[in-house]
Amino acid sequence: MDQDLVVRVQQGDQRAFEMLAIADYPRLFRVAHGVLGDRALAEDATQQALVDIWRKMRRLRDPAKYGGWSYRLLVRVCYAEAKRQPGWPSSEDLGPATEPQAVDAYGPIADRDQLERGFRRLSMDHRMVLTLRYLLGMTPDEVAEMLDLPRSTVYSRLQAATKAMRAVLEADARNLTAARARQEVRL
Amino acid sequence: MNDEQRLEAWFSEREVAPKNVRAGVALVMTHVRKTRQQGRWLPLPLHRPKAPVPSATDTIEYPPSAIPATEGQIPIVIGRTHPMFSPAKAITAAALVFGIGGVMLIAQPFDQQGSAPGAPADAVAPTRVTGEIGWASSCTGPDTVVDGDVTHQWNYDCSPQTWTASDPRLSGQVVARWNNDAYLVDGRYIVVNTSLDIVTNDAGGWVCTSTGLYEGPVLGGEVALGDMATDCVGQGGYEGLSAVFVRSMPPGGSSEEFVGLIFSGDRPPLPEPPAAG
Repeated sequence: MDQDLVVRVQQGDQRAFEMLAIADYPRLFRVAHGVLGDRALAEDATQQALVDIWRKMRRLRDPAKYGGWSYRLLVRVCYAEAKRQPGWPSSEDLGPATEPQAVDAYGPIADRDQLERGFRRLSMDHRMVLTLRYLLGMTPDEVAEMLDLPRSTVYSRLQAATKAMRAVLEADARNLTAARARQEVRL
Repeated sequence: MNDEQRLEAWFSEREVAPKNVRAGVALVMTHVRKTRQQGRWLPLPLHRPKAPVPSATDTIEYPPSAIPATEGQIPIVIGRTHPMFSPAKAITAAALVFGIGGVMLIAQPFDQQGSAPGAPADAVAPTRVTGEIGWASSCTGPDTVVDGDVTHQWNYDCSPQTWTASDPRLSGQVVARWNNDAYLVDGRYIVVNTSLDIVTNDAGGWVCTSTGLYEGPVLGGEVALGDMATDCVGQGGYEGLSAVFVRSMPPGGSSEEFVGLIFSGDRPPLPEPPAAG
């Protein structure tokens, strides 16, 4: 990101902010969509984050830190955006949407659905570290720096999130095995 | 394909591009035109990256020309080339003067401590603590009595939990028990919960109590409606200490996170509430 542009925005230059917003929109949207999993929500979160960036830009002391700082503002907006949605799935509401599928037997489409459901059961903290790690390809150390968290917290969140997603896939696989067994008994 | 590769592939497959960046930014700009920027915190100056210093070997378009000496004398610039005054320096200097003055006013020999007006006798800064609560794999209980739309539950025991804290004093194995009053409201249960946690480690222990609200479609399937507030009193080796923290339960997780303070002595009283009216 052009640091001069950031400095000009800090001085209240709206034209500079418009240029910065156009350059930054795809980057922020990418992460918002990764975390929220919904295009409309991600658009709303990105736009709200940009307004927050404008409002708080003068509080950013080091323009070189703009990248991580803007992600942190986006994270807060994603939290708020998810809470505002009345139909936002909580862990208890997310029953199997379709007939359970085996983990590897039914190919990539089933796998995608299962991963999506597993991902939606995660907290926003866990989704954020997974998104930065696997969508943006950051190392855990970079994630820690980006989110201003201790390294150990990032490692434990990554581990817990991966474990939770694996548990969903395994539970689906068990359900399928049980369903098949019941079907065989009926036959 | 391992977990990491599978996640990378999945994230890559579900990625979409924003519909219309220009339209999105135009919406943002309508808000921006009506929104004032917040001021920065004084007296901290903005960080400005230093301009690179050209090295002797750099080639530049207009090299500096030497100042011609007059009659063999080298010209000397007398006086400052920059003004001495800056608002940031003035504010920083004032803050330092008041800060040092304040410290000198309060600081006293040990045998005279506590006599300064307004200085608490045993004011020791609390220690910030963060940590994670790993849940037990199974629970026992509870005893249950249904009383109309209220279900009373007690002796719920989900032990042992493992607390891992940034301050080792709050780490250890934990016996966790709680009682619930579950109210059936519009087909869902709203649960008022009171918990007891008994923490033990090699150096001492804690007795902690918490209150929280939960909601769910079935009893035992509730999720927290917000963070739980927890109060702890030190036992054994931690006698005389107290702790207070909030714990959050992420949906779908298998652990909780907490953040709070450990005090030397009793927990200070809460601030007075604002006066009504």
